[in-house]
Amino acid sequence: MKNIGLCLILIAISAICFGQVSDSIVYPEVRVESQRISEAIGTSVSETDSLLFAILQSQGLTKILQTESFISTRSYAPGGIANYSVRGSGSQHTQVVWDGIPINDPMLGQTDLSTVALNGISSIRVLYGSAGLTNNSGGIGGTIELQSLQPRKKNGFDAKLNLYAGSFGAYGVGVQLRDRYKFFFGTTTVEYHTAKNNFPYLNLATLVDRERVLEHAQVERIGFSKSVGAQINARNTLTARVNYSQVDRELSPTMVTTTTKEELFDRDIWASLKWSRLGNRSSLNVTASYIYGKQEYSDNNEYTYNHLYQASKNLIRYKLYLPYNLQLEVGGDIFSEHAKSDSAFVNDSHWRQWQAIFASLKYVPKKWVAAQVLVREDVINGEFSPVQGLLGVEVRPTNWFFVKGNVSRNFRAPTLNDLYWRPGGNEDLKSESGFSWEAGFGFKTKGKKFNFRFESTYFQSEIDNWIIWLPLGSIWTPQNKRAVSSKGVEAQLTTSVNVGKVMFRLNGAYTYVQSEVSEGSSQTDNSVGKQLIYVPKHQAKGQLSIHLGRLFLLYGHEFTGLRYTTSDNQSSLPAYQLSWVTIGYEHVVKKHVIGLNISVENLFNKAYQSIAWRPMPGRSFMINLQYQFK
Amino acid sequence: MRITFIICFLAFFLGSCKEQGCTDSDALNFDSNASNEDGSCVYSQSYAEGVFVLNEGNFNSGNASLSFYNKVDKAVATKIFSGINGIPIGDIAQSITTHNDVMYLVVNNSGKIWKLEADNLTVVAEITGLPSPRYMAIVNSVKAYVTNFQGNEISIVNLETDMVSGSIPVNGWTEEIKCHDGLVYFLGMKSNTLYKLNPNSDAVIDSVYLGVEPYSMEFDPQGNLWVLTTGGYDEQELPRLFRVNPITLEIEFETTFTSISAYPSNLALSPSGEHLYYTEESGLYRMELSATQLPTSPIYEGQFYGMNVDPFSGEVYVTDAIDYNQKGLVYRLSETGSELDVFQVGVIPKTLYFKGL
Repeated sequence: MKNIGLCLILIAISAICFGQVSDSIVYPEVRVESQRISEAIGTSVSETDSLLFAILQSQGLTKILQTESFISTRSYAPGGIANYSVRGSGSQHTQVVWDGIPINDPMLGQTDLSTVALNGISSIRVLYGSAGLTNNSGGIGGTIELQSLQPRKKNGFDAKLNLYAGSFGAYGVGVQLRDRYKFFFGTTTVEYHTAKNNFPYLNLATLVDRERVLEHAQVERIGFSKSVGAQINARNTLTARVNYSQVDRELSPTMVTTTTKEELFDRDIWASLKWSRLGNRSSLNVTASYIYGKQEYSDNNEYTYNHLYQASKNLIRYKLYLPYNLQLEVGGDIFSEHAKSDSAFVNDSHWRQWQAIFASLKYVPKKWVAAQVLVREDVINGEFSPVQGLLGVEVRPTNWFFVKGNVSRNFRAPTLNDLYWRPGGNEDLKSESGFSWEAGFGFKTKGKKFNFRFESTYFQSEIDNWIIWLPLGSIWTPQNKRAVSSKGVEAQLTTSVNVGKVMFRLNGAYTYVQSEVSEGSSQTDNSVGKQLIYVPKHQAKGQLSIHLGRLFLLYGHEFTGLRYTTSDNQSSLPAYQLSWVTIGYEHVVKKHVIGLNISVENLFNKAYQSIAWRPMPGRSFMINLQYQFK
Repeated sequence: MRITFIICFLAFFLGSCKEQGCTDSDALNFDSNASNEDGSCVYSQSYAEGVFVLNEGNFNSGNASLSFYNKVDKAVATKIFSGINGIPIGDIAQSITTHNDVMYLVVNNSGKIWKLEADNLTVVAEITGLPSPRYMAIVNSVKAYVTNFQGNEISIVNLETDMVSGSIPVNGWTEEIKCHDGLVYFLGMKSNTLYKLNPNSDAVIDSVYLGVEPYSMEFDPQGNLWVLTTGGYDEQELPRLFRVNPITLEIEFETTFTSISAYPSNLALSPSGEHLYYTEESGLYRMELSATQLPTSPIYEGQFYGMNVDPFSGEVYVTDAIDYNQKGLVYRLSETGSELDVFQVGVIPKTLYFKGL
């Protein structure tokens, strides 16, 4: 015990950590929901299972989202720059929020999923379509919500250590610490991850030396988070949080390019101060935040380009519970974004002032029917954006069946690169905007030995003023020259059965997306009626697990359909299927839990490409050791 | 119910797993395993007469391709390089150079040059180790020079060993390069200069400052060198057209474009040597070699990425990359700009090379 105590002190001092505090490594936990976006009624939301979170955390956010949600992701290499598509849109059409604060890079309009340090994150949700409109605009495809590590509810201290090592030079370590003493609480997390990614592959683009090892693909990530808070009294809570991450990446060559010296360094800081007040029939949340992002790109001539952005983002949300099961929520945002780049803006700085207000009225009786109406208006640099709104309804005629749907209008503002890139930036660009609707149904049963939930949604959206970069003379410039129409179906099944002491769990998800250009950029544009590039029409994923006491065996399978690589759909990447398996066991002695997981990724050693001519690893192994003090 | 559901899903997925390739059994490279036609079918083994179109492809996407247009029956074969050799050209196919019975394809972002048998396009050698090659000038059967976008060098290639044998240091990006009367001339895109190189000593022996971004050049029948400057991709100055004496490097004629955004490029001469063609932002232009002023209106309107003149017929071919992410178009025009044919090629068609008997 004395040694364990000493270890914990050393761990805390060294502050290198990874992992997630939960009551159990094997079974999903019940999560705290106080920080969450209150998603719109009639919309779809998915949350990452805590078991998968624990197993896949070492592989990063891209892998987690690809495994479980309806998102399609693609990365240039393991741990490399990652893009994503929700409901057929692009990365720029998805808002990423941290505790409700939008964190997308205003220059690029997206977040690189590979830069997110997950040790300070307790849950990940995806809010599809306009589900996140109650909190933020811009998420035409959806919103990815990261919820920071939540504090303990009771007095005391808990800690978790996570160590892992795997194929191709991957290893990492992490610690999470949480404590609470009466009215004061805090969390601390630290993590370190690295991977050489020096896996063998077959180069299909050359006649000589086809059997190669990927070079120049090392990734190193360091993460730190800290929160301190005080429950001032029964009604008021003050919390300060900071999340830091830095990622140093070598940018690997493709099969068709020469060796490269390119490197990319990212540093992100998210900090917030939040005051929460609970009234008898109301709640108030006021958040002030500072978002910082820095990118240093070093090219083949070892010349470094610097991009820097900073933003202050202040949000206020007030919720009032009215008679007749009505909930009124009003809120406002005041954002100030600043970006500077020595290449994109030729050392110029650009500012963007962004204000928004919204009001929402929900009708939420305990049974039968719930409905919501929402209106939101954003003002960007003094210009009014398209009015946004949502009308949602959910009907539960029985306790096992429900139908739901919504219609909404959303928009996406041009990025700062779209507006100010030199040369070519177009300050006259309009925001992309459009209407969308969705309708779905579901069943669920819950019993002692059998749980079952199935949900399916049809969605459709029409987006106008889609921004595309095209040359005007010699200069590439963004123009509002396309329109895009998306529709599709999502279906999700979750079930578990207990047979004696054995529990079987099955999660499955399937999505069909038809996302097509409906209006071309010119008369000769052959992209009209064609699927957007790198958006698979079919995608399916599933996990089957068997649990016996604290021993589990999990098999995961993933299917990604054919993806077109040119806008006229004349070239494509073939579909691929990947399998993985994990076996894990945890041992509990009083307050101590020790867990061990062993995973095999790409079980059948399939060769595949997520992005054209970018090799991906074959079969690989990972061993993960967790210690938890509760 | 659930089992039926799963079976339906599996059937649906399996049905969508189609292999790409040539599905026409009449084609030379018919692939019996392919169920999705990808336009790679090769129908003719003869490339003796026609137009090669080298399609750059997208940066880092490896989708460069080579197309061949038969001027007689107007048939187009696409992706012929990969169809014949079973490998992709690479990333950003930049230029074509021929020498005797050999064709060289310079692939910029792959840092390599493919050496092909000109008759059947079979790969003979893969010349690697070039920084970022752009254009190639063949001095003799042993030596060639290659300009580079990066690397601050002109690469020297030994055509017997098919290896890089040396380099000549230069200042920044170098673009078009041509041999003329035993000497070599190349353009410095960042130094804004025309250089003269002695191939016996591998030394730059003379140079002349022209203007921002000299991008395109041609020798006329009288031996004069014509050079276009773009004025800069970021519109630093008005573009200009020069006529330079290649012996003295004196500028004998110079004229300035009126629009800073004209971005003239793709300089080419008619077979008779009487007319000069180029493209700019509003279309294809044609001027008499003896003219002292630039033409004021295009002979064919549009935004074109590549252009060249057929030395056998005098017809002009211009390329349209559309959105730069789909198969582009090539317009075949008479020498005065009348449209004769339009055909589809690969992604971002740029270089046109004419082969005739």
